[in-house]
Amino acid sequence: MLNIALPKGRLGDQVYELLAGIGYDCSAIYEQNRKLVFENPENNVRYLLVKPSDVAIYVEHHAADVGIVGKDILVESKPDVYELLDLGLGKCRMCVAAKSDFIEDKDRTLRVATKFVNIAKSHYASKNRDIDIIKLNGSIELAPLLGLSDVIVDIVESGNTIRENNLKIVEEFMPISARFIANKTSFKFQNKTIREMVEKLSAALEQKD
Amino acid sequence: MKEKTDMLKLAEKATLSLRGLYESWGYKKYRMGRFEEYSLYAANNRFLSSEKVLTFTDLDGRLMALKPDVTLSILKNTKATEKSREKLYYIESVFRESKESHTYREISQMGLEVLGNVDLYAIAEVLRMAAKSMSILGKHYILEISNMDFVMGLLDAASVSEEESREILPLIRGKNAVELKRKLQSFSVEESFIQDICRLTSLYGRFSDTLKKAEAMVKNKKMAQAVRMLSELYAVLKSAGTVRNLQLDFSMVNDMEYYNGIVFQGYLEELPRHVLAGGQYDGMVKRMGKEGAGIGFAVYLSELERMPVKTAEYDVEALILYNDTADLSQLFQAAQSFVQKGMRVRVEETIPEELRYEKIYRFENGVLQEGKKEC
Repeated sequence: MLNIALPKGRLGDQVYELLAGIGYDCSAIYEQNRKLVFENPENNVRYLLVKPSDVAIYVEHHAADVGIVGKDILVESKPDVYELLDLGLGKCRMCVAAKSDFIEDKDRTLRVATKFVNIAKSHYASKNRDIDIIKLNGSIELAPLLGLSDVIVDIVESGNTIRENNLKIVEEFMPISARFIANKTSFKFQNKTIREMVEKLSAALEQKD
Repeated sequence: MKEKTDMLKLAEKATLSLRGLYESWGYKKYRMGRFEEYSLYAANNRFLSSEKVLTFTDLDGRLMALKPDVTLSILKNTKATEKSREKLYYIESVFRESKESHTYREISQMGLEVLGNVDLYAIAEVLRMAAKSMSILGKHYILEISNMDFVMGLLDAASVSEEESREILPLIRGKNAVELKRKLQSFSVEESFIQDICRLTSLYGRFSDTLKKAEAMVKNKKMAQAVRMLSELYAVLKSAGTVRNLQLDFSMVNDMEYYNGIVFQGYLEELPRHVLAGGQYDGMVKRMGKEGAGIGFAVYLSELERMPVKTAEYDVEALILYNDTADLSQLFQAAQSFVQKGMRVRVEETIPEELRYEKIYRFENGVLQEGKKEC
């Protein structure tokens, strides 16, 4: 039985459709309930629905054999896993955004609000910029509006949230998309199953393109 | 006697069996102090798995560290030369950062090193020790082997600079073929070499098959030598009968400044990470100003705690309750009779909380009477 960690939400739904299309379906997942584990013994798969930022943790610790996770989370937490495929889904960019009238004063420490502490740190370290990090867990866009921070570092998909909150994108520095990851032990002991899945997935992706 | 060892934890049992194995192959146990001067690690921090070291100031003002690594300490003290050889093993605690809790943790580690004259025989013997160790730790294991010289040779042939290879190696290690390709294109590496380097990520599997595929990719002398060395090792290991669980995986690469040649990692089916890791570290030996070469491996005993175990149904087979009128020497003899039968016994005045016992006895007027179990 192959355990697949799916991120809850829109990306997870897209990925499930993709996997179901290549023979890993599990119709129980459409049932309206609060279950977090769905099994299809015929296809030998078990889906685990987890918080997107936890997918890599489940896979790294072997609770799931494979998983689908955004590149942002992989860069942020650097889990010890194999990154086997770029699914090209859930595309967005890691951006620096600020109030629309913001002009950076390079003589001051920059206050940065973000969920992605490590990404923000290494980005500004590469530019030799001194920053203060303010770690937030959601509604990051609020921070510059209330003067909590000068800029934010966050993922941007369409840019609508940014615009509607009177912010502007100052810098884009990392393209992001969903990746297919595997636990290192699982990859060795269930190599055939996982390799088959990767091959089918990449064939399906090529067809889509 | 068998029942006695069953009471030991898996890690304890493994320690005993591994000691037996290493001793019978003539390895000497090496015991070292708990502390080491911090400067040793500051100068070689990339050799360590994490740069964070637990330090303190000793009474004489020197900055000391609780050992995060054992190999460096062994290397510092070795007297081995190119002609002589030292064979050592150790069981030590090391102190490392836990990435999950962001605190320091004490990790128990066992390891084996051969220093000085490291020839093909020494490498084969260490690999055999590693495979044997894995078979002691678990039934279903895989020992993955690679020769880093093969990867280095390929990167040389593709004229990838040292700085570029520092960005490329983590991608090879993560089997991330997609991003590896993008990165190589941005370094404007020749297209045919891009394909070959990306192929490294899927160059793994059964020893003999994978070696044939690798042979077809040889571009220069270094790669040819690397392949030849692997096939020689394979022949030796095959004659010793330890090849069934061996695999090749050319995506396994370490920091090239310290490591070279053969690298290997051991995986158990039940555990998320490798429990055994090792390789040749001639670069490190040179950096420490020592003669000769080095190869060794470490077994992470703490990882074994994650092994799923059947918890015993009972803590003790017999619980004996006595009161203050009991004749103590008779009581003692009564308890002894259980131990002699190989049972675990606990003697108490009242029933201890959270003790799971199979049978309960009351010691009254010099005789044991089986009582009813209270739940």
